[in-house]
Amino acid sequence: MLGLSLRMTLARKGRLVLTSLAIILGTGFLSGTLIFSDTLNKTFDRLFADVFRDVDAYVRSSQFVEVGFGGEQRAQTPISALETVLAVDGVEDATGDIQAFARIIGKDGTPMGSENGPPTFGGIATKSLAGLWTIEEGRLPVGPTEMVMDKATAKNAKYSIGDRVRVTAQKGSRTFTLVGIANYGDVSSPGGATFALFDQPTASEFLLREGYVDAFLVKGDGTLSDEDLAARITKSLDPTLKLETLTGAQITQETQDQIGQVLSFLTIFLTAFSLIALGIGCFVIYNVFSITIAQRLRENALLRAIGASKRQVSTSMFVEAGVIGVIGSFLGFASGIGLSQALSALLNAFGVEIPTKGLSVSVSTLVITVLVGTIVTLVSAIFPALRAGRVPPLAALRDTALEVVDQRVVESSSASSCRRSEHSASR
Amino acid sequence: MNTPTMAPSSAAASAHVVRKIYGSGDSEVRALDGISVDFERGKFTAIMGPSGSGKSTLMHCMAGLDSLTEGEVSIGSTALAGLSDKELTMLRRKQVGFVFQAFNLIPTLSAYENIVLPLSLDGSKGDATWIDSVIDTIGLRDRLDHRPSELSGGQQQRVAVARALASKPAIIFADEPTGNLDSRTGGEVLSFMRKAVTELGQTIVMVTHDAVAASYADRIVFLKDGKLAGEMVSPTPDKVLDFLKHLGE
Repeated sequence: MLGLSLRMTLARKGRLVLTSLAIILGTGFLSGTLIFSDTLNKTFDRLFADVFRDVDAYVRSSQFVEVGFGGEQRAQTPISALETVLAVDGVEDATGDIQAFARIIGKDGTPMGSENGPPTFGGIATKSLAGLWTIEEGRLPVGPTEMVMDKATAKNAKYSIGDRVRVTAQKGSRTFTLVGIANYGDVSSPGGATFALFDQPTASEFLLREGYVDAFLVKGDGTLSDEDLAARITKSLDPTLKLETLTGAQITQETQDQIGQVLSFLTIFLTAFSLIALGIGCFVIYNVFSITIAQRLRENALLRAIGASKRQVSTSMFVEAGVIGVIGSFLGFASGIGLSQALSALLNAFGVEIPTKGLSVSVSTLVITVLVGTIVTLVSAIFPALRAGRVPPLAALRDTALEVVDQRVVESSSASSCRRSEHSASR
Repeated sequence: MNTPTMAPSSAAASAHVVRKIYGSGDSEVRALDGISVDFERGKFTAIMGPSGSGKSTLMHCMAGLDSLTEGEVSIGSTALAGLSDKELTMLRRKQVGFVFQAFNLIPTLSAYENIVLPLSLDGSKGDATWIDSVIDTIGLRDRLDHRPSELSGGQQQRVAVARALASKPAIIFADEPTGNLDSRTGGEVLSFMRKAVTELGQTIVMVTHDAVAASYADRIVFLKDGKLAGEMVSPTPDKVLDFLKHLGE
């Protein structure tokens, strides 16, 4: 009987595809958002792993206040402590790091980046081995009138080396000469943020506070493990400065977590969206099966007449739903890959550069999509399938089936005409 | 040829003072009004009568497709009254074969799959030699892989008769099996049914209003207004038409 149900299902290829459409759409959304979030997360994870590749230890203030959305505001670190860190045995190089607000003004006078979009940062460009930025074109900035910017922003604003660039930061608005263009790790700009970079004294004075930075990036000479290095640096630091030292792995993890938290708002939103799509799909699937069963009334009645049990008829419809669910989910998964690419393209169009080095399509996404799609289809088909089993075998003989319906119509219409005549008689 | 294995004394199916009443009071319709009839094993019996005489209703009630208001019907030694839906389903699957006027076959299954469908429903392979001889008798061996839509109307009805025969049921009910066929293809189907009775030892009960179709039967039972109106053994078309003329008066 199972074999027969399968054959009966597969024989109707055209309808199979049409019925699958609702499932394809629902599961397509689901797998699309799953793949997109995976890709996004993996991209940023890889990005920060890349960026902190040469950072073996990270020194920062242990004092901070929470500022909502998973963010935090840390106290500043005096640059004078850098000498102490550089003197520690096992430290090859170390440099100050700043990530503060700075906005690059475009040639037409409008600020780059948007108010609600990705952040606009100012920072330090250094030749230090521990630095995060690499100069792609030109040279490092020296002195209070020179700057470097990230490649993506330079391209967007059509700035080239030698141009005069106005930048707004905490200390007001100043004009600098662009002397270089830099890359952050391997990408031209992480997630659409803009960066204005200066030498350390200029950055500290213009962006933060003279003599202070946000943190130190430390590169070891390879003789110590990162843990030992961090422990040794902590020991060497003046405890009254209230500084703490993280290993490269710890700061990478922390940054990834922070980004993951920000991204999770996006992915939760998208997932909710895809679940709504699936929910609507449920109704469509329910309707499609209801129609299918109405169309196949006589066929199911015939099956009942020649000896199929209610359960066999219902099961056969259920098997059909299962086959459609599985096929639809696989097709939905395939369309989800396309959809996630479209989402990336959409975000790129809005200026959020997602450095996609290929989509992250995991086996678990496939499994989730196919499972959810199939279960949703089966659940939607439960009632139509049960109804299919309840068809009376006599419905195989159409005339009789019509007779039954007609009778009811005749009865009700005669009853209403009786009522009508009574009504007129009483008048 | 195959001989029926059951005791020849009892009827293949019988009805005892059956009544089927629709509605009540003034709108009461007595579709069957106290009919008692036996259908002999190994015989081809036709049920005739004008439309509304209750011939189809009688057949549906005898086959367990419809329920009676009063009276008793039995297939072989099984009384249908009080059987659950499940038991009626098993009875139809194993003891009863059906041939309807139209839409007999599942369109998505091949002719062969349709023929063995009652067996497949039961999860059994059936009697291969028997099915082979049935297929030989209908003469559609080269069409077994075809879908119903690729067969002519006459071929479809022959496949339907073969399906009814496949499980070697106690009795086959045919409801106007040639109603949608022209007289030549109808004749083919009828002679095939005749053969199934004479050569394969099957029992067939056929509802028809066609005198020529009825003349293929061993015996005709006439109904009028839900009552038995007469019987005829060894009919010919002329005798049948003559009888119907009297019945109409």
